[in-house]
Formats: sequence, C-alpha cells, structure tokens
Amino acid sequence: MQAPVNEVRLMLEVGCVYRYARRFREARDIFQGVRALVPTQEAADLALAGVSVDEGKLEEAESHCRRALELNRASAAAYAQLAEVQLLQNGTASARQSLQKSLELSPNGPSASVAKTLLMLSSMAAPRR
Amino acid sequence: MNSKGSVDFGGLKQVSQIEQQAQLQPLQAPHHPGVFRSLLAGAASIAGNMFAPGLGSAIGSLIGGGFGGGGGGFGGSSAAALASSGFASNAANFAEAQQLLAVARQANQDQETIQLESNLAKSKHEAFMAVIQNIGS
Repeated sequence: MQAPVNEVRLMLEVGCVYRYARRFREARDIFQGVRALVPTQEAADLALAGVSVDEGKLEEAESHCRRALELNRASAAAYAQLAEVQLLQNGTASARQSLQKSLELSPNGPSASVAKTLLMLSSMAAPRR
Repeated sequence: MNSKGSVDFGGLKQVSQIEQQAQLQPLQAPHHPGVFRSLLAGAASIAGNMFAPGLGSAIGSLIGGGFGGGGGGFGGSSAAALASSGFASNAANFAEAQQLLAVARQANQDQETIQLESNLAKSKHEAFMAVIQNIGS
C-alpha cells in the first residue's frame, strides 16, 4: 500500500511539535507509525534519533542514525545527527569525520549549517595541545 | 668702636645689611612652579586619572605643588595623607573595575552561548524540514 505523502509529512511535523513540547512518548509513537508507513525513508529514523538525543538515550540515538544511513547513504542530515550523538558521547574525532562527510554530501544545504556549527563546537571541545 | 670691638660706622652698617638681605632675598623667595612644571602636573594628572581615577589628581598636585615646599609636596603631611587616600581609593576602584569586567565577560560569554544554541536548534529544525520535504520526491 502506498502511503499518502502529504499525510506522512503532516505526521512528521506533528511529531516534531510533540518533541519540541518534550512530550516524547507521543512523538515516538508518531515517528514509529511513520516508519511503519514508509519503511524505505530515513526521515522517521532521523526523527526518532532526535527524540532519543533529547531523552539522553545516546546509544539508541546512534542506532537510529545508523539505520537512517543504511536507508540512505547520501543523507547529510543523518551524518550531522550522528555527529551530534558522537559529540555527546565525547567521540570528537569520529564526530568530525561524520561532519566532514555531511559537508561533502551537502556543502550548502540546511544540514551544512548544522554541520558547520557542530564542527565549531567540536573544535572548542577538542583538548588543547 | 662698640663694646664688641668692632668699629661702628653708623649708617654704613645698615646699608651693608640691606645689601646682604637684597642678595639673599632671591634665594629665599617662595618657589612658584614654573610653566613647564604646571604643564607636566596637568599632563600627569590627566594621564593618571585615565588609568587610576583619583591617583592622577594626587600626582598632579604633588608635581604642581613642588617637591620641597613647606606644606606641599612630598615633605608635607597633607600630601602624604592625600597620596595614601589616593592609593586606597585607586585600589578600591581597581577591584570594583575588575569585578565589573569579570561580570561583563561572563555575560558576553553567556550571550554568545545562547546565540550559538539558538542558531543550532534553528538549523536542525530547518534540516529536518528539508528531509520531510524530500519524502516522495
């Protein structure tokens, strides 16, 4: 069955509203529903990774990011999200690699702004020699 | 001849005393600060007040008032009191300025961090909205 695209988009936006309101259970339910509807799209896994980050479940967030990257190896947003998780896990070197990959895939898109900001933060967090 | 054995020539002695006094008078005249010293005092006062409010005026008055004059300069007790009060107020001002500087630095840093976080959150939202828009395209 082909899921209607507009409804899926609307569901993702509503899930975002729940996430920003810190109602993580509702947001998670919606994103899992989207994943069931469009299992070939990385958007739901990316959104679930964001919820997991907000909840502080970093390992879960990383597995969501990996799954999103399995679905779409060219997702700059997924690399940026993975980099954020790695930064939170103190993996500065791997985070910088993910950010470089994100910038290679999308040097000027909206995820590039995220990647550049995170790169700046990672350089601030890097130990001084 | 008088009782000390010296010859008194009457008015002649008085004249010589007046001459002696006239010669000594320029040496004993109260010392007024010269133009250069006044300028130097003003400059020192301004420069001192720029770096240490209160201290500059004290230095300026010390230079302007002279170093050896009675009651003014380094020899006078009022100058010492003025200098000590100047140093004390300077130290207090310096400590207050340091505290204010630290608070201003902290506020600036906090503002930058908040701005960075705000920009990052906005960029993340925009990136996710772009992903949503790419669904089905």
